Amino acid sequence: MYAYSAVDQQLVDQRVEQFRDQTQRFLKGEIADDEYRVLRLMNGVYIQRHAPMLRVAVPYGQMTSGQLRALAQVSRTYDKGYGHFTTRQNIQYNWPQLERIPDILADLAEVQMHAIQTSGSCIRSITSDPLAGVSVDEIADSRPWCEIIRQWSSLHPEFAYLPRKFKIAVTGAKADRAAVQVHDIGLRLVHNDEGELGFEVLVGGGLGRTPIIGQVVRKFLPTQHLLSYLEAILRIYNLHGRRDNKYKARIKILLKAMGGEAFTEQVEAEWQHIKDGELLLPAAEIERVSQHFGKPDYLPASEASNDKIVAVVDADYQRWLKQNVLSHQQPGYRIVMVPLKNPLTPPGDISHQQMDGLADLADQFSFGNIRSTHDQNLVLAYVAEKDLYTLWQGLTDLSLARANHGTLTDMINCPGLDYCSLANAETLVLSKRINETFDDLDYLYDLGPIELKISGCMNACGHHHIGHIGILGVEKGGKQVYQFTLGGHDSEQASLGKTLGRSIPQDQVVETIGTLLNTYLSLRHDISECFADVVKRLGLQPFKEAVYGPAKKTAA
Amino acid sequence: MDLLKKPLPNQVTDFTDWLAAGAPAGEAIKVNSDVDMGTLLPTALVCSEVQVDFPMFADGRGFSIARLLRREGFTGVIRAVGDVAVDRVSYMQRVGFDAVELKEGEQADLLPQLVNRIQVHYQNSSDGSGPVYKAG
Repeated sequence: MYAYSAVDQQLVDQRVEQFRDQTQRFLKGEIADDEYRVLRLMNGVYIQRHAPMLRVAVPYGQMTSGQLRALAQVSRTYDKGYGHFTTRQNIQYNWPQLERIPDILADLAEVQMHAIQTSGSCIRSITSDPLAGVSVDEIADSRPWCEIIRQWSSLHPEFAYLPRKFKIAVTGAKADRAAVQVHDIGLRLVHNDEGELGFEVLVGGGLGRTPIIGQVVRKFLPTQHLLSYLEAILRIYNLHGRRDNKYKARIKILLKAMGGEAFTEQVEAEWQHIKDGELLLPAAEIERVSQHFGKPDYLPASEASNDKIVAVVDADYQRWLKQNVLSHQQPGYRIVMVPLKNPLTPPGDISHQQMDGLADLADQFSFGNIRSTHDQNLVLAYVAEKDLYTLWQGLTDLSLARANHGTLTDMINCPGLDYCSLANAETLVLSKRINETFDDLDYLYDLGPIELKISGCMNACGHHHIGHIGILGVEKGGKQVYQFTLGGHDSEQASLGKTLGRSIPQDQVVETIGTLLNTYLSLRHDISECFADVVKRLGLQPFKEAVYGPAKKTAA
Repeated sequence: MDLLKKPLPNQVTDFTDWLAAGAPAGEAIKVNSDVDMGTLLPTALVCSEVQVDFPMFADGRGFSIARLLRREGFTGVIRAVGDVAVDRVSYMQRVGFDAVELKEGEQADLLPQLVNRIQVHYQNSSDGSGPVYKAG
């Protein structure tokens, strides 16, 4: 876990005071609304449907127990006692008062947290693989590179007024748990033929109104050139990205307009100017940052493991063990997924008691480390096998042991019309009904891993395009209706879902999901063929007929 | 550096007009944010001043324009004009602007305290302050 240097701390502290001053001048009427809007957005403050919303950065999803307790404290002191983890691994508070946000930020700065660039048309906080440093399929730990990018992008003077928001994701594993193909820049750590570490660079992916899978613009970038290459891409984008239409302003549109080859040529030409300049990363700096992400003091496998973990005769525990506990690269250790998918609360929500309780469990059983994931869950990444049963009991007491990781009800959901001023339709009512309807765990396990993703508008915060089943809420003639897309995928072979057919009224959404699931079950070879695979093999037709009936065709 | 102190030039010529006039040395020119950098960089070095227009504050192209001018070796004045507010001047200074013309209604007296509010930087830039890891 990265710990701030004196310089890092000074920057965050001074940023808080800068924002305090800006907010005070705004409240005194000395800064105009539209002017302040841009300033507050760059510091994570939205004005939402009911109140301001503050989005706090959890850079690349890494937290200490102390930071999680501070997040709990903020929710108690300034908000309604809960927080909401987002699809970009950050946490949002939905009810702070604008006047008090500088105080919140000052409290967070004390535990080395901030809200820098969690919104606005700038380089957003970096996302990554929540299993970095512990997964069994790791090529290299992505976290040092994420931290290096975090620092370079923080308060970058040239790129604070980009055409549009700009998202960077990094993965260092074979499986893609960071959705790098749907980011403005996706970075994959790879080895070249000589065995050197570098990055495969993808540009121009994204969801939203124009979902596109990113293109590889460079197959291998030596690690020391990371920042100069990013700077070259950003400079070309800043100069040439469209500014006349915010719906066509993302880098994916520029890439499409210029063509991948011409775009890459310009980036490479710009890069030649700067690649061996000040941005060339010194080995000492890479080493300094990497040292923060060393391995914890693991117990020897003989002490950490415990054959009895699988012998406990508790069906709930066994289910949890099978569903929520993953293999670890360290012998004797496991990764524990902590789903924030309580059927009674919106996906991603967590109460202050749960945050405090989980922080305590992390201290006891996971070296004080907690991670957030892009599917709105948390992770305890360093659990010795001998502690699993005790940890499960602790998680059960906190209502955080629901054994639904990776199943249908482990869905992604934006907050929708209930909270968001952009949304066209409700989403939380759907997740509630889905939870109520599909509450039989054995049925969920029989379905296998399935990704259900729901967005309340075409900005696609719920990532519906890359759900096996994607649902997009839209408003038609004053009614909320929902468009289904099938066959999306956010893995290494990312693909975008295809539209099923005409929109479904709100009261038929759950029934439609049931029809789709039954159709899938009847068509799949076996459980290893996931929903998206079946759509790929057979197309949409069998699903269309099941939902709309064979007679009507699907032209409507 | 006092970004408000540099006296305004007596005459400013639009970049395209200046090019059409044969790009005379020693003049002050004004460029729009959509200026073609391939045309500007090889020609503008002989100018005494380049004014970069910010048509609206969300248009951040001017930041890269100034940065590239400095990298090209331009040593004259680079002045930000148009929609320029005190809260954006610190970034302008860091990418190579050494003069600003604030839009109407801005509190110019705040500028000295605002431009130095954040005193550490992670990036290299044109104001000479390298990224922190280069400072040793």
